[in-house]
Amino acid sequence: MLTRRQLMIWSVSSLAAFSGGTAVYQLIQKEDFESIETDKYQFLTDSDQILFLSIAPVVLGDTCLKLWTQQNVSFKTILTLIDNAIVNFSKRSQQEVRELLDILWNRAAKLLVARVWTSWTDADATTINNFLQVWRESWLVTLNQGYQALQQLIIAAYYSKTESWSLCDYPGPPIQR
Amino acid sequence: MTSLKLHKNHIDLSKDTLPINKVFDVVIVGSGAGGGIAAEILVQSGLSVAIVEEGAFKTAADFTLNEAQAYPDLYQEAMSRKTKDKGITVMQGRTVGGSTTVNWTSSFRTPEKTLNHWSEVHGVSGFSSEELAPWFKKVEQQLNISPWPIPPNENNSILEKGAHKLGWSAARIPRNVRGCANLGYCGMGCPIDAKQSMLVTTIPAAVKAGATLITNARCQKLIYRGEVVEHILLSPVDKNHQAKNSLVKLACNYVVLSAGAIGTPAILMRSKVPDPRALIGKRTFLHPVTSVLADMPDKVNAFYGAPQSVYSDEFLWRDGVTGKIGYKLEVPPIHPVIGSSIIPVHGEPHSQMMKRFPYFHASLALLRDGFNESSIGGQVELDRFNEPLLDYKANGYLWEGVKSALLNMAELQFAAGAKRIRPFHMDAQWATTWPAAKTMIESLKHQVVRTSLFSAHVMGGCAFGDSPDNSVVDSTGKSHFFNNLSVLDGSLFPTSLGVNPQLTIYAISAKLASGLSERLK
Ligand SMILES: Cc1cc2nc3c(=O)[nH]c(=O)nc-3n(C[C@H](O)[C@H](O)[C@H](O)COP(=O)(O)OP(=O)(O)OC[C@H]3O[C@@H](n4cnc5c(N)ncnc54)[C@H](O)[C@@H]3O)c2cc1C
Ligand code: SF4
Repeated sequence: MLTRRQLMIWSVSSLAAFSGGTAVYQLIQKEDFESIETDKYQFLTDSDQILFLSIAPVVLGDTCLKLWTQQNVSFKTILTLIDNAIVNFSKRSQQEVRELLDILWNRAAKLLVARVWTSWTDADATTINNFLQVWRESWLVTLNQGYQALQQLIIAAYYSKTESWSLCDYPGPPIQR
Repeated sequence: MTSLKLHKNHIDLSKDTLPINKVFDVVIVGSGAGGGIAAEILVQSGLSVAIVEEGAFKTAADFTLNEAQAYPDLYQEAMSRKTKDKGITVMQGRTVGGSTTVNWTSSFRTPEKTLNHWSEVHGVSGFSSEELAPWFKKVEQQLNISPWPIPPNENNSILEKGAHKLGWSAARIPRNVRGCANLGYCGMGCPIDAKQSMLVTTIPAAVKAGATLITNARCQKLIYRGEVVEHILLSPVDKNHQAKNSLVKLACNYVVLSAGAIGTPAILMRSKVPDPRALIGKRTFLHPVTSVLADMPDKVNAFYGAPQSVYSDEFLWRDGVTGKIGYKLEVPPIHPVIGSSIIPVHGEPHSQMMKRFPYFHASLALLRDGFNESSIGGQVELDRFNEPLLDYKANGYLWEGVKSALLNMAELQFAAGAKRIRPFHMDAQWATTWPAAKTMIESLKHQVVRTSLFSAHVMGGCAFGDSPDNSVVDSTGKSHFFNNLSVLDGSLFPTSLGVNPQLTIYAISAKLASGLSERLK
């Protein structure tokens, strides 16, 4: 029998092949999706990893992605950075992030709340961007909060990395340690 | 200073144990502005003192000036603390020295209007400007507080230039520094010990004089019988800054709570201290901050140089003390992690904005909450993990001030030469002229989360005053309920201040700790 993890990897490679638009995985390295690592992270589960690997490229945009490629930073670094941030949050905030990620993964809720596709892995960049926009513009404060949480986690993780600083022309601290 | 790490009086509870059967004369919970000042004064009067701090002991050698390291190491909840509805980001320190280790060094005396209001409306006695003056003088000397003689960095100069152009008041900010190299990284811990925070002044002095510093130790609750606290319970804190489940006992004859606003009321609430008028944790104020980003024609490099050196009080009392909310204008330093994550857009529009990063100036307005009946502040609650959470609801009274401040800041930025400006609001657009900015800002609807608000000044929640009807502790800081407990930190304030709070906390704690040492001797 396929394990849940194998199933997810399988669905990444097969579904993506059939999808019409630019599957998000095409923006980053396909291997990233295929090498989801169980037990590597303190907080992120297998499905959280897939979720962030799908959403983060859209939250960041091409310019950010290209810079990391040029700098030889593996895109999966974003997962480590996000994981490191979350484990220092209060227990309550960690639970809130968990609930948010579960809602996003849960298909039924996804159809209801995010009103989009059937699986994160076959969603194309436009669809994910639409989902982010819907949450951002919604009159429901809960969705605005969800947007803010995802946006801040991903953007803060990206700019915490020295290799990202040339994008914003930040020379770094005057004293190097 | 770094040698303190090896000092025999330092106990790291995440790996060490407490001395057995030791009963301290005084235990101080929290090593920030209030706790640091109190520790030195109490130990110098001959009392045996322990300082309990939930943060770790980090010093200049640990400060890498890197946000990725500084926020988890030095801030409550790794800088992710927000009010209950996520409307306001709340910044507080969690390390030896508390928020003073990461603050931006602005040092103002309490406005006379604020002190008068406390005495007239909140029944606080002993804190007129005259009565506090000698204490201000003492700490100003001790922490080398004086107006910053070096020219302001460009970020601050823009505020000064804009204010002068419009005929608004503007002045230079006094700072608590000695040998400051004008680096601009105060918020990540000063790498050269120039900032005269509690980390490099009162805490080492207290430890040298015999105080015991217990770090990575969260005070969970007070154990009391009748009106006497018998001991306190501590939990060790792990490497991810989470309190472990185990509890250890620390015995003392007197407890001083200096865990800061939010922190101090949380300890009283966890301890289920009798609170018949439900005052504990109420009236917690934030100086909510609203801000406008400006794209300037020349590089500003708002990440370098003393973070705050210019302020304008043009609007601080714009409608008297108790009318419409007044606000103080200052600027924040801008570093990439915090600077990028508060721009509420994503994708290419976000990275295109970030390309202008060195050209960014930001102005901020800190709104003086708590002086009007419509400004009741927030309420500290305990969540299901028994950890504190602040429920602070923005209302029409606050939003009126936000709108007014956004307009003033935008006008000032154009007067100083901004190419375009953009308030921190999800629905805001760039505006390239002052009239366009005015129309845009007037059309913005203010709503929780859509309007970005921040706070680095958490105050109140354990108000002092003469009457138990409206205060948790008396005007000497002593609990109205317990015989052997005082509060000495920013949670004492019955309202916000209208100025950055550290100097007020230093002076009030110095006065009250001196009184306490007399009583305990
Ligand atoms: C980024 C930033 C910039 C600032 N800039 C300025 C400025 O320029 N000028 C100014 O005047 N003010 C500034 N402030 C605010 C100022 O530093 C604080 O108002 C002041 O330090 C508060 O003093 P306090 O004693 O009330 O609490 P804190 O200084 O915050 O100290 C409280 C301490 O108690 C500890 N604690 C909490 N709960 C527990 C517990 N249960 N057990 C054990 N320990 C506990 C905390 O870890 C913390 O170390 C700034 C604050 C921040 C965060
Ligand atoms: S600006 Fe001065 S006080 Fe602040 S971190 Fe730099 S050297 Fe230290």
